[in-house]
Amino acid sequence: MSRESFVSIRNVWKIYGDTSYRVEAVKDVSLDINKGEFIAIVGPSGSGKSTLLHLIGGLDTPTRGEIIVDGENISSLRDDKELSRYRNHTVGFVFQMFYLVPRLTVLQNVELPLIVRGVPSEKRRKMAAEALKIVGLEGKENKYPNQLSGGEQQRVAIARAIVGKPKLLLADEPTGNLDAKTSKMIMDLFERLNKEQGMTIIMVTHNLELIWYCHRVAQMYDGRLIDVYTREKYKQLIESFIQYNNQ
Amino acid sequence: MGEEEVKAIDYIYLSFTSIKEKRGRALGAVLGVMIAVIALSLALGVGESFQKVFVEQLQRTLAANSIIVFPGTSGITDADIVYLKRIQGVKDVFGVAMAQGQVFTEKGTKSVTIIAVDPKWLPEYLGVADIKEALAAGEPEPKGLGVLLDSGLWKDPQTGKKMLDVGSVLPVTVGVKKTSMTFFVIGLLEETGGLQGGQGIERNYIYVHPDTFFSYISHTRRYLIAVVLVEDLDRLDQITDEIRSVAPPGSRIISPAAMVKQMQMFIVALQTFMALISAVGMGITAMWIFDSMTISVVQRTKEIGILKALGYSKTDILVLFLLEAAIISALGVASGTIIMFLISRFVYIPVFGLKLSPAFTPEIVMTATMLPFISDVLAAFIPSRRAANLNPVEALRYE
Repeated sequence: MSRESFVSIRNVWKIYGDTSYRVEAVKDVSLDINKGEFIAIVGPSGSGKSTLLHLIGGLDTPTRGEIIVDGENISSLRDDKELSRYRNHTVGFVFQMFYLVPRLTVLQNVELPLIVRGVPSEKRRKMAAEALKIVGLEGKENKYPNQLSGGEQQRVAIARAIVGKPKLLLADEPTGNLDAKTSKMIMDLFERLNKEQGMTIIMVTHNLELIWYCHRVAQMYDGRLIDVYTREKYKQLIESFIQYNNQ
Repeated sequence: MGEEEVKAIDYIYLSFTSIKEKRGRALGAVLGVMIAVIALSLALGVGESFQKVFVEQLQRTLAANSIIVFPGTSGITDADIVYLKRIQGVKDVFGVAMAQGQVFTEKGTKSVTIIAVDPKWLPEYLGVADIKEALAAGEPEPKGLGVLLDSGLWKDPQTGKKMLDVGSVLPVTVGVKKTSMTFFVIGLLEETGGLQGGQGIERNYIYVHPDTFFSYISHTRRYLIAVVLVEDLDRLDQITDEIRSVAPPGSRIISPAAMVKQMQMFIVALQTFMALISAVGMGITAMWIFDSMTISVVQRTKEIGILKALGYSKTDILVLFLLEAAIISALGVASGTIIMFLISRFVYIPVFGLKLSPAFTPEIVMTATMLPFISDVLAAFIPSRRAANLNPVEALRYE
């Protein structure tokens, strides 16, 4: 683990199934992510990028290897309470499908991570309102998710992810359901959170246009981490690939 | 932050929002629980009330704390009574002498039974705690030729008007020899229970003092029956056996207490049977809750996934779902309890000429409310546990 590593992934494997049916979703992945870094994990469908994100987020546990986040070896956390505490305090999740609770208002959706933390309701409402202000949704507190556009719903999901001030934001195809204009708005927001609040962001994406927002790009294929590139290096690679194809 | 635990009010709030969302199904479940509570409480309440009224009636009629010894042709002597008194668990024993006769009144002759009981035991015989409870007028005890008349002799059964009064002279003939004698009415008795009790029986009884009876009517001091008062009803069978061994040969021994006990057991069995039938409703409601929660878990799989991603533990999810069932059940129990009390106030079944309303003792209320509640929460436990144990990744991917 490098001295500044915030997330250290060491020889991580994730194998599903048993002897008769075996899927190696993540194979011997090692990766260090620095504090305050914005990194994209790219790769084709089924390359294991979302699985890796779930492992980092404590939604799943690795079959082998270890994942250390902010000095805590989360791969050794087996107790549900400890894992839940880790997910609540250290990580914020943003998903492609937003996953807002339709029966709750925007404010109540954002309050959800604070409820489980036992934050008193008044303080909770204040924190949720602040998070909504950060994502530019002040005035929409009492709306229900179905009264919002896709972009607004994703911003609510981001507000919910950041309301507990997590150190690590995990985004799984955050713009996958959004148009180009809204996608840019969301990515600008991520960039702002990364720059202004120093939030470490790991984003899984198919969309190569989004990598310009990131510091580094981790390329995955068939469960393996092929390489990790700087944004510029990855840009060169893409451009060479396009030129090669055009010849 | 120092808080770290979901507050109970937040659990309730989150569960309540879910109930509100599926209000159609929730309302059905509330109605089901309500009906189950009403059915169970009615079964138990009516049974309890019936048992109370029925046993009271039996006890009043049969003098339930007694064993009655009917001797053979020989009758019971004072010596027999002394023997009976010595049996362990026997509080006291008294003999009752009787003779048939005829009384001459303005309305003609009437068959009567002349009963001689020691005045000390007359209240016991009449099934009252104090003779004043039975006394309509006059003296409380027969003396010499002064007698007490039961209601059938002095009161017109149709009009309730007095046919005889204290001070009336009562010419009678007694026994097979038709010995003529004259009694003086010194007391009038109301209709009571006791050994001569029972509604609808014509109470043509004249109560005389035993000394008078054995001086004028029967010259041999033998009683027609002996009434054994039992101290400890739990030893009833043992006492009955011992009485059998000391009673004159050919005696018949009847234990009203045993009859009451048997009847009580029968009513309890009936009450249990009724409760079991009504428990079917409780079972159906529990299945409804199980079904409703199972559907809810399936429909909310993604939500469970996101809650887990946000840091909700298995316990939190389990509590949220169980609480939903508990709230639904509690609403049903509360509405059922209110209706149950209204029913107890306004609905009755006519029996023994009485208005029999369901009796809700604290035990019945507890049983009728807690049983459906517990069964509903238990029914919700399996789907709730399934929700709690869902893998968050699989839950989020669920289509």
